[in-house]
Amino acid sequence: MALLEVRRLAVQFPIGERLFRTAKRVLRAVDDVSFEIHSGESMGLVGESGCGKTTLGRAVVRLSEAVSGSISFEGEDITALKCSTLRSRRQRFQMVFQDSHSSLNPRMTVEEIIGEAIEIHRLARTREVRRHRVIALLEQVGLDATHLRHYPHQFSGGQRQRIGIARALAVQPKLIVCDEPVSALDVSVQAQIINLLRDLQQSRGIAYLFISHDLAVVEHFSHRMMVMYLGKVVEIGDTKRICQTPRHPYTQALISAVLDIDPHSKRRRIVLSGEPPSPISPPSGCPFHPRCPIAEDRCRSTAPELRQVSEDHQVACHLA
Amino acid sequence: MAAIEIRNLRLDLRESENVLRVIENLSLSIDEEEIVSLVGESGSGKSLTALSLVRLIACPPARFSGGEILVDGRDVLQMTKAELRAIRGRVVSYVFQEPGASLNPVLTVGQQIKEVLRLHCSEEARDEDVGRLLRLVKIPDPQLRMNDYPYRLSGGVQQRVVLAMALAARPRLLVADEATTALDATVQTQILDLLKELRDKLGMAILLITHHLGVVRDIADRVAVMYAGQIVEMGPTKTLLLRPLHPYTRGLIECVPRLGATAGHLRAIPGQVPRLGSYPQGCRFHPRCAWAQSDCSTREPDLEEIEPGHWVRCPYWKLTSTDTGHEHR
Ligand SMILES: Nc1ncnc2c1ncn2[C@@H]1O[C@H](COP(=O)(O)OP(=O)(O)OP(=O)(O)O)[C@@H](O)[C@H]1O
Ligand SMILES: [Mg+2]
Repeated sequence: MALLEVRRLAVQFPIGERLFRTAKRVLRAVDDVSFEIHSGESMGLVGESGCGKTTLGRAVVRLSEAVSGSISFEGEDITALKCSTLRSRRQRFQMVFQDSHSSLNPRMTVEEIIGEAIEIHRLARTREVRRHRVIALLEQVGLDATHLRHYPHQFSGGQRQRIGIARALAVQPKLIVCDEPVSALDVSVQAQIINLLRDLQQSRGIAYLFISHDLAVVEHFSHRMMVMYLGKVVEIGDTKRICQTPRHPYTQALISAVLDIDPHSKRRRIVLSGEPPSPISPPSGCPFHPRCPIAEDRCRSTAPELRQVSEDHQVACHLA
Repeated sequence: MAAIEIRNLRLDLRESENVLRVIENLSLSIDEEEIVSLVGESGSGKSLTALSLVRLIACPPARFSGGEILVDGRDVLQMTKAELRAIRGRVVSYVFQEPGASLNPVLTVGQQIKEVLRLHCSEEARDEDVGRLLRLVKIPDPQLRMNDYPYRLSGGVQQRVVLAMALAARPRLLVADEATTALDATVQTQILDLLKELRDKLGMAILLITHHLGVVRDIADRVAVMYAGQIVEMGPTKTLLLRPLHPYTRGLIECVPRLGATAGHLRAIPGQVPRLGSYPQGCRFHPRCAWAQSDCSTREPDLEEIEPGHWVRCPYWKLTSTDTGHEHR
């Protein structure tokens, strides 16, 4: 049984004012997405800005509401759980955000920030026990007891990200959704955080939904991955397989746009015309067809479904 | 010939009681038609260096406490306000990371470009001039886009508009400060290709500031790596990427995952990037260096030319190029 199973999930946002007599228009931020994550596995999620990565990640941990579809966690349907039950389930799935600046309360000390998570879930009976738990968590993320009374602004970006991770770990989750956890960090510090997340996975069997716009980071970090375009998953499966033999023209373009540092490397660059269209008025047929170098007539009229092309590798393209 | 030459630049920043020495003895010259990349992380002083070129830094709190910046044999640091106005945009112009912040939301693309043109040429700008600039940066349907407001354009097209404005006075040097960082990967490569093309077509030099070595490899002829307010290594791009000699450069190259090439642990650089102006004694990188020797915490290393055109600020560069270093955390 999968740890997380997402079926035909859709998240929409209303746009503009509801006009006289006209139907309310919506933006389909996540459109009919299905995938699963097994325990201890990391699933990468890549795609260009605005394609719906954050929205999908938030929906998975129930920070955004789905309009349709279902989310099951350890076999239990959590799509419609109400507040109190949801809170107890939240122990098992957590989120780490890109912007550690705004996701940590600036007026709370590190002890209070991490302690709060322990408190909410009633994981410690006394203050002393709680403090010990906080210190143990800090040590796991490479900080220590001397940091207890410090405030978020007294830390560097990388250290703040460690605090965010310690807070997520406080409740012993089985799944952590990491939304661009290293994008705001200095390059020399990114690797520290990526290594830390991996170590935690190995020692605690945590599963990740790892969101990033950096394909090389995703390839390095995830066992499986999915590529989103305009709210839809266009390719999903084993990471190595997708990166070595991408089948969707969009994935191929993304891979060719990765700028390698080796002066000897020669990669065929696929130049896409235009830029991602707006999710408010998505194109007909395949959402990628206006930029696709190989689009045909049927791509303009019929949207392709995901289909299996090899073991653990699915693609939504008529021509793949 | 150099388009611009920085010699021994020093810049201080007053922060309440303290004077922070943010840039020290920085020398860098950029030839005509050359693309030079300045690489560094937050707080390394790379943007301040770029803004210094035509003194776009508020003084105080900043103060230029030494050095020269030479344009046509004249020192920018000695220029009057009027002289500075004359070189801004004409000799050096800038493109920054967030195109949205460089554009006026209540003016159409055409109006903003005309305003820039008016600033540089006395006479009234025409639609043809605007169209010519938009075509130069390869914006499709320039006649239509001219009448658009910035919010209607995608990030990539906005950045092209900003670029068109920066090119209005045909500068000799274009400074692109993280100009492709906020863009999607597929759009980033389009803009990088455009920059190379413009360099060839207009014969201008480019100073590209980035933290991304992949961008450097793609576009730069030469690269200078900055750490904590100093250049720590400088040389031709290929040499530097294939045979980095400074431990920091080596760390930067090794710590980023590469497509199809990395497994297991990444070689992280331990510790943190020092804050702007609060730099360690001795070699500023020594607390994070895997090869640090006992005198690295006291002795300030000089930037030395190891082979023609390849400069390194580390007396122990021979160690780093042969040995793999201590095990990292
Ligand atoms: N609260 C909201 N209200 C309305 N629209 C929203 C909201 N949140 C996101 N959107 C829209 O939904 C779409 C998907 O946004 P999302 O933030 O999920 O993208 P993303 O892939 O995470 O992008 P990025 O890489 O820039 O973080 C975008 O068009 C965005 O403008
Ligand atoms: Mg996002």
